[in-house]
Amino acid sequence: MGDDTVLFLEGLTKTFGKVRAVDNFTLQVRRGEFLSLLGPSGCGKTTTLRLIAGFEGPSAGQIILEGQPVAAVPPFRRNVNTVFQQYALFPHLTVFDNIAFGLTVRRLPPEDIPRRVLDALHMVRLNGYEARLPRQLSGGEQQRVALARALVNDPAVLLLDEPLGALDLQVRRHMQMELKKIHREVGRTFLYVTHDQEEAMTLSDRIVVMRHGRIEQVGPPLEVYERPATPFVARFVGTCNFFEGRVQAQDGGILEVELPSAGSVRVPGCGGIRTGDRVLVGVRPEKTCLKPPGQVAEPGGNSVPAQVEEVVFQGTVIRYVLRGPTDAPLEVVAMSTLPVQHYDGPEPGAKVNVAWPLRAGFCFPAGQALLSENVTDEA
Amino acid sequence: MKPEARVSAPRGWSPALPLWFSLTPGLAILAAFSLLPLVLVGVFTFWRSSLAGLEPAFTLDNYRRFLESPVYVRLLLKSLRTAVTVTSLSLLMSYPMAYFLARILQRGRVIGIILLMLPFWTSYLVRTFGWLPILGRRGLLNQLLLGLGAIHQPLDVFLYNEFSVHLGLLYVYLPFMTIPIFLSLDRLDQTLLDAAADLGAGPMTTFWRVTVPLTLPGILGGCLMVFLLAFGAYVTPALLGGPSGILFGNLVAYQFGPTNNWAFGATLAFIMLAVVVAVLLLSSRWVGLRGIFLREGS
Repeated sequence: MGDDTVLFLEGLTKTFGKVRAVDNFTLQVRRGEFLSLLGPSGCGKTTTLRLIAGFEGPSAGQIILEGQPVAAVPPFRRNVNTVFQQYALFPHLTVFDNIAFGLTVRRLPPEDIPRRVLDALHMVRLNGYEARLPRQLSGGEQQRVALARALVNDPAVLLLDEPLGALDLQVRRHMQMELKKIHREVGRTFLYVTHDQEEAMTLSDRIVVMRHGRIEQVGPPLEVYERPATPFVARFVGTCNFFEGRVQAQDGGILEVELPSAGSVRVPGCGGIRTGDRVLVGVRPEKTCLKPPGQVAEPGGNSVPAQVEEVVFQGTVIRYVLRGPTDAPLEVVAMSTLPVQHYDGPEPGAKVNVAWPLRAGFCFPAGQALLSENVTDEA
Repeated sequence: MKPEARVSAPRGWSPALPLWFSLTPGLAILAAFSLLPLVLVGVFTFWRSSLAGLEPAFTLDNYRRFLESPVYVRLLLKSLRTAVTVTSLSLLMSYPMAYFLARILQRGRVIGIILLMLPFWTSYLVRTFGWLPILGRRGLLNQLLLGLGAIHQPLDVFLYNEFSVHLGLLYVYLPFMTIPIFLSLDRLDQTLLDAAADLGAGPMTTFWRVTVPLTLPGILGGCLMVFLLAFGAYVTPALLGGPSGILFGNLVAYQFGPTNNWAFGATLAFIMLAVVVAVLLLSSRWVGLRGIFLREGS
């Protein structure tokens, strides 16, 4: 464990009855990073946060905060602070008293408190709000007060439990940028829980994708997006087209995969695959394009025949829903480069080729995949 | 967009009944059962009572009589003191009980609440009479103490004095304190307690700085109820009080009963009402009446 580790979770497990909400969870959180726990609801991300805050006791495992084991330490003696999903501001206290709460219960010198509270208010850009009551604030303003109330205590780790979940999209986007800025300004470690992959991608230095209480993948946002470790990650972070097939040949790290009734495609290999194995080939919709039958995107690229079922104009992009060779649904996203009235692309019913460059694909051993499992249902 | 703007009915049609229609029943009931009796009592205080009954007049004799005799004022103060004592003891007993029911008990909460309400299903009189075989000369308590050898003669100190009046009032009015406190504790958001702990507050700090302030409406509501009920009580002191235990309420009842002096009775009742209103106004300075009687939107 290096010096830059502020929080170390080792084999953390929490069971509720027969349910393992958090299952053998091991993670190092680096000092000053913005780390997101991302997953569908019920994946154990909030439980993990509550274990770190101390609202729940672990069934097994260790929580090491700044080198000290804290699993048995009550929440009011842990140097972490939480921003709750529903803000949890004290309704009987003013904004000032809400933010000062942590400082006064820790018995800081009273002469220091007003300055620190006003600094915190300034940080969240709510100067002049100190005399208001929480019910006089909008959701976004309450969220800022909650953030100030937590950060004013200089926690070793700031825990944020879907803090923007209750805000509408506009305010949410704005608050994301604010959060990012505040994180840069204060240089504290932020541990952020969300089920919104876009939010996690926008904010985080690293993302932990969780499922069924376990870690599926840890890494920087782009790595998680471009090199998903499992089919679940590929589907949960963004969308993904999958083709199941059998490896026919390997050549310098490139697999040649035979697809049933669709010829073969080539894909950069993944570890531990041998010729004859069944694999899942994945490619993201925005990395594919539609070509007339028989054409490919580039020399050496891939193409799979399909039939257009729907063309959806979404403003900036056009989304094509297609039926692939095995009747599996496919999706292609293209930039909308012409005004809709001049659209000259394929219409529903057209036979096309879904084409993508060799490097855009990725693959997984097929045994790992449960394609029938619908991740959106879980979310 | 403001919320009002969203609710727009077609022009010329409103789902609400006309204002006069929806107000009339409520106002009529208030006028018939609350305002009219009050006005009558107020008017009676200036009338005169004779053997023939009430006689219309305009005299301040009734008020003069009250002020001239120290007995009445003394009894009023005694009633006030009793009500304050009973209210305080009731609060001290109720809060832990309500806290246990609302925030500690996981299962059997319903049973606990039913047990709390159960006494309400029997008559007030029965509940009060129930103390006689416990506190009396040959009562359970004396038998127990005799049996234990703690005393050799049955004691008379348990019944027909201020002690038994306090005990009786405390017992019959306890649920009026416990239930509002239970309700305010029950709707206290656990996340707020988590937030307090998260910010470094130990259990005691959290209790005094979060739990108590947020349940203050329930506390004050309970206090007000018990205070008003105990202040006006006359059955309990009549049954358990004996000669030394009577309260102002008994005095009022006496004027309407054996003495048949309704004018003076109305005056005493009116003075009592004035004290109650004064208490209400005083407590409303401390916390809004809205917070006591209505659930405040948070």
